[in-house]
Amino acid sequence: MHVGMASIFQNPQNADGVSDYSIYQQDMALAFAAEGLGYESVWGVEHHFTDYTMTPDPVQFLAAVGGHSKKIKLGTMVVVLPWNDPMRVAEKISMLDCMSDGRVIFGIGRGLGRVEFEAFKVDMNESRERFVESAEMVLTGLENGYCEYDGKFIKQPRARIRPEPFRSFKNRTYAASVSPESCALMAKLGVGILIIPQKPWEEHAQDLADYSGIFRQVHGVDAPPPYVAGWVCCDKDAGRAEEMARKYIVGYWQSVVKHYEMQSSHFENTKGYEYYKKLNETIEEHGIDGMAQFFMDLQVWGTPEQCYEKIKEIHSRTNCCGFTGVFSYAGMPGDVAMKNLETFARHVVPELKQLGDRPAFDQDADQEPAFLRAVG
Amino acid sequence: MNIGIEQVMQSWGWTGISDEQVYDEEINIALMADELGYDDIWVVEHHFEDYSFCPDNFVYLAHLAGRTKRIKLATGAVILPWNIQPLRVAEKAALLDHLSGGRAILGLGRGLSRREYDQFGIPMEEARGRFDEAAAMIVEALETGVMEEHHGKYFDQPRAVIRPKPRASFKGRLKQVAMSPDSVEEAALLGAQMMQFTYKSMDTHKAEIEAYTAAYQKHHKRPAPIPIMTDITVCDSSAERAADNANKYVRDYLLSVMHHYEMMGDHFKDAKGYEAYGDTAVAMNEMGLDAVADAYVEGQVWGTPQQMLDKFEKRRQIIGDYDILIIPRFAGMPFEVAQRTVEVFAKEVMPELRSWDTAATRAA
Repeated sequence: MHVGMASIFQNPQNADGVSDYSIYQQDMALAFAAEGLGYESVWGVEHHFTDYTMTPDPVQFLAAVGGHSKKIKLGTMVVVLPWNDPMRVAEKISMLDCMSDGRVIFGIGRGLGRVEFEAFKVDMNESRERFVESAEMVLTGLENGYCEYDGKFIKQPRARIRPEPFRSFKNRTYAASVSPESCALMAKLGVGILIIPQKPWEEHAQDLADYSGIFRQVHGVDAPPPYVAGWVCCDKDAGRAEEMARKYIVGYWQSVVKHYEMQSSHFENTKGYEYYKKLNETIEEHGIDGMAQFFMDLQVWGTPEQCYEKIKEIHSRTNCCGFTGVFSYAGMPGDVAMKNLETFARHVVPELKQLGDRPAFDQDADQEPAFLRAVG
Repeated sequence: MNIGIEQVMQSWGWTGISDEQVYDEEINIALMADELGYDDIWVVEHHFEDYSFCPDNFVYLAHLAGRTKRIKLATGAVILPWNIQPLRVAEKAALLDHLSGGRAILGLGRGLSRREYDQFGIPMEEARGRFDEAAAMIVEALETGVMEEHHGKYFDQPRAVIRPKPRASFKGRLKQVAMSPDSVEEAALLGAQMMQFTYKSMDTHKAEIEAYTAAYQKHHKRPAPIPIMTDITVCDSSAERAADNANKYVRDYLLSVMHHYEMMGDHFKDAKGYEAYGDTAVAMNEMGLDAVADAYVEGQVWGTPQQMLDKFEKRRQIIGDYDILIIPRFAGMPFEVAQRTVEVFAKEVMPELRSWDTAATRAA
């Protein structure tokens, strides 16, 4: 299994006087330490405007990490296509790959935060269609060396991507997906699935089964195994680990509810977000605190042995080829976060690397994009 | 005096060079610059073509931020009309400042290439309006940390909070490339330090600098900053080799500019905001391409260290004090030519330049 870490730059204590820059110093230190500690990738997320996650451009963040490192991979978890000019997405991803000697893992997503859709003046009802058009344009573009699209929402005159892609993005493109409809969509697009756990593992497993079926049907080959992320509290003392989880993973859950307005009724009437309406109802039924325990139990916390067992269980449910941990969040002090990262690195990462299969992007011999193969 | 390097990210002029190798060479130059004491690295924004390809200069500068600790990192420039989300420009500038520990410099530009406008699907006639509207939104958002609600001709923006919050004011580190009369005036109004590529006569540059200075003073009630003058450069202790390389590569660079921007084309005269370029095109057509190229090579500062110092001094007599940017890599030159420029300039030109008195006294 491939093992990575993600930096999310969360600042829930901003109102109490914690500066965004202090969070940047703290989380950059973790991202810069990752390669030396044995992590195989650093991941960045895209969010805007709130305390929740302060990386409006994960590609830019990863460029800094790429500059500081030699071989650690650089993953987006995710680039939210409906909030971006897709030509620029194709260009940025190709640039990052060019400057990092081919280390990009391209994760894409549709977006969930109303606060972000509103500020970008993108109608949330259109997000799925916009996502499909943008994804088609960008993914085809990265294989062809140029973008060109005439869609309902996206109109792009033919334009070359420069610096041009020099390695294919097949086998290193993932989409974050939670709703069953999204999984079907991702199967058709031919991308891998990135799971950020939010619902019972049986449901994730069901989605994966459906996805695999559609994938094989459409593409004639087996779907790639999924990639999983999780919030981690790893401490050699079981009691301390649990305390950490109750404080920070629950804190993180609360930030999720707040940023995404999970208790609001706006999902009810938003096309493409029917799954979240159901989630809304579940939250109403169990309450935020009731759901907090459920959310906590989906994540990876405990002693190193307990963390390993939890990921092994996730692996048995999903056959995942990789795991990315989040180690700093919800106001966790810098030294606690660094110790979290280090403990996991020392005691869990080496074991995980022996577990299951490697993803295709760790095995691929250099494969050129289609247009270079055609020329060569 | 501020002394930096501007990078143009070009493959035009080389045979069989990969885009990756272009980036390797430019990154190498940037790292040399950091070690040799240059104050800043500037990088262009360009898309789609061999002429230049750096579609997101914030991403490139973030990469350099990861590899350096000291050198300042400037967008030279962000082309606002090609960035359809001014909000993102503000976010990216704030983010770069966080990633680099406070080393970001924001340079803005309007964009001159019809090729790029067409491939963006943005009409060139809208460039002036888009630039002016976006620049005001971005500069204000970086000062306050909030992009306020805005309903304009080109942009409709709800209120949006910039996170991570800008670490510090961008006053004093806001620049603008200004090569036409209305850009010069806009730079003054915005309070941006003006940057010019030296391809006109020094008398023309002098007039533009005076216009900028007067407008700045009038609007802000304080003295204007000195301008930044940018040259295509070959620096070499061998006068003969410097001349050979300049005559070949500086000339070729000019040809790439003429081709990419269609400088002698007649599309400028009818494009709102670009009328001055229309006049220049007429003049260039009258001169002929060869004469234009000769004049361009003659007008850049290049040569042995002493030759360059003499040219810089002669320029100072005409336009007064100025900050310096040199462009060392361009138009098909072997990489060692660029490396030599960067090294020799740092060792034998820079120390002398830094010793000049650069108080804000201006030539008569």
